[in-house]
Amino acid sequence: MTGSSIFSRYIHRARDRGELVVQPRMGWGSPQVMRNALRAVKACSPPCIGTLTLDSYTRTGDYQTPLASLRDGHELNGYPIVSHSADITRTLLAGIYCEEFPVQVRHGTSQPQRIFKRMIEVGLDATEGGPVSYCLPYGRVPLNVSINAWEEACCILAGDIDHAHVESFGGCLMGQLCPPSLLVTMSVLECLFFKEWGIRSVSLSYAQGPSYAQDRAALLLLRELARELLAGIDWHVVLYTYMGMFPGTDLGAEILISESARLARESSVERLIVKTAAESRSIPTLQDNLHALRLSRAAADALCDVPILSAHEQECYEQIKDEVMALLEPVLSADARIGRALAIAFRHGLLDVPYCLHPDNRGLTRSAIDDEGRLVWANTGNLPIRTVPFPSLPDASPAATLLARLTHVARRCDHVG
Amino acid sequence: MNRRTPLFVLSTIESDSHMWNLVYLQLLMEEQGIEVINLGPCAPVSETLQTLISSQADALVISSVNGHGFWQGRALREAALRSHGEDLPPFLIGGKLATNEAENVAIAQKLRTAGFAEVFVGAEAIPEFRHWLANFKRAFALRSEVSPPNVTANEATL
Repeated sequence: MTGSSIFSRYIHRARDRGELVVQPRMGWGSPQVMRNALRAVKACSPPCIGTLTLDSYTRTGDYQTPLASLRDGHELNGYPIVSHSADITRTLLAGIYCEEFPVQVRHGTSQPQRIFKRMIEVGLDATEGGPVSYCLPYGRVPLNVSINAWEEACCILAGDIDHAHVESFGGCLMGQLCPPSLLVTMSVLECLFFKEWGIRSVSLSYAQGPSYAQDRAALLLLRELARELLAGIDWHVVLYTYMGMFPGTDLGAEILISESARLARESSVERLIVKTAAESRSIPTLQDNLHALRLSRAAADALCDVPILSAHEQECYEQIKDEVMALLEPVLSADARIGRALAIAFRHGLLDVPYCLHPDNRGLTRSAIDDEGRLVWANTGNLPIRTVPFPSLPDASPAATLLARLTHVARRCDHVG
Repeated sequence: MNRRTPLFVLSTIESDSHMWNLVYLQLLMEEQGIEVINLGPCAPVSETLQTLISSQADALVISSVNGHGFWQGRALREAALRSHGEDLPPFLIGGKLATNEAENVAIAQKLRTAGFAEVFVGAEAIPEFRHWLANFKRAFALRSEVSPPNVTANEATL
């Protein structure tokens, strides 16, 4: 396949073999530690792909503190790709990064221009984020600033790398308590944004939620929308193992991770990004990651595609599709330029992420978990959807209710385990 | 300030982008009859202090869970003393303030020395915070009954 990235070529080869691509999140400040970790993931059997997760100083545009911190003997929570010279990073990757072992840069910044420039310099071709998904859940950079920055950043990538790959983080947002229809909508919109700004290879993300049936339905819908709206560019779907409060027991964690692998495999998802059993306690070590990778691959390899939805899943599908079409329509008609359309939509609350405190998020929507374990809207705010909000009983303690929803998945998995 | 319900400013340290702890704590405080101004994640020090002073709030609550809360929380307190002196409502802080739980006792002591009225860390942090809120509310209610209309924010402290 000419003109495509190392990253997407690998994904396509794996898809042709019927194999789920599994990926960790990982990053360390020291180039030697980072190199050793990538080498260990590459040596994993069956193979997985690599990640350079950037540290939180780099994410906020502070390129000085990482090196000072490392000099003082403090480890960082990620790799400072801008602070280390391009040569150091090229050396780190030499002999490891190749056609058979792609590496994706993962970060969480609303203004990624310097990071993308460094990616080009060192020969990396895959990253992720988005003007909304890396802005609203993370701080107070105004949405308009983030949109402008991402327009510029996409141009930087598209101008220099043939078929650079960008994954939308829109399927995650706050990590939990976001109903599936909004996750699907945001992933699609951000990928349309990338396409508008010259990116020719994208992935649509979706984060595992409390309901397997809803997730099956959402993933099917996501693929249908991608086929229709992203025709002409390369795309695939990436599933994130549950991104909310994680089970506290090792067994509970393994149950959830295995479930995500099963969901990915049955729903023809091309790539899975895993969490580890350490999630509820600490930043995962390399060993935590290797264990999660092996567990997921084993679970996935034992399964196959299940393209037909069950009756219950079909019911979820109708509901989610109804909401997604209602959410997409006003945004796509607000402005031909997706960035402007997103800004307008958020300003009017036509898109509104539940519980998100960012000043540019209207903050009217709320969600709940119904008696069948489905994530539903408790307050639809100004969203243009017909869904009747889930009726809430008078709340003796809204804080306790929120905590119960936040811990719902963890408690279910720990109980079974 | 002749207010019927206490008003708190809820904020975090500048490097902390976590949001769920702030969402939860706002609900917890509102349940206890406290009005809350929630500044959200990554609030700049200047904005936290300006909001605290201009709103004439009765207390500042700093919640942080990224492990940098001790360093940046203390820096916030020092900045407040430099710009506004001692004429400040109580500063409270809690969450995951260090990267290692074993440091909790030591950092709590240092933060109190720096002038924080209370430090809520460890497994009992939330129950202890609820307890403190209940006490504050009782004292506030008592003061509202007996105080003249022009009581200042500084006097409405425990």
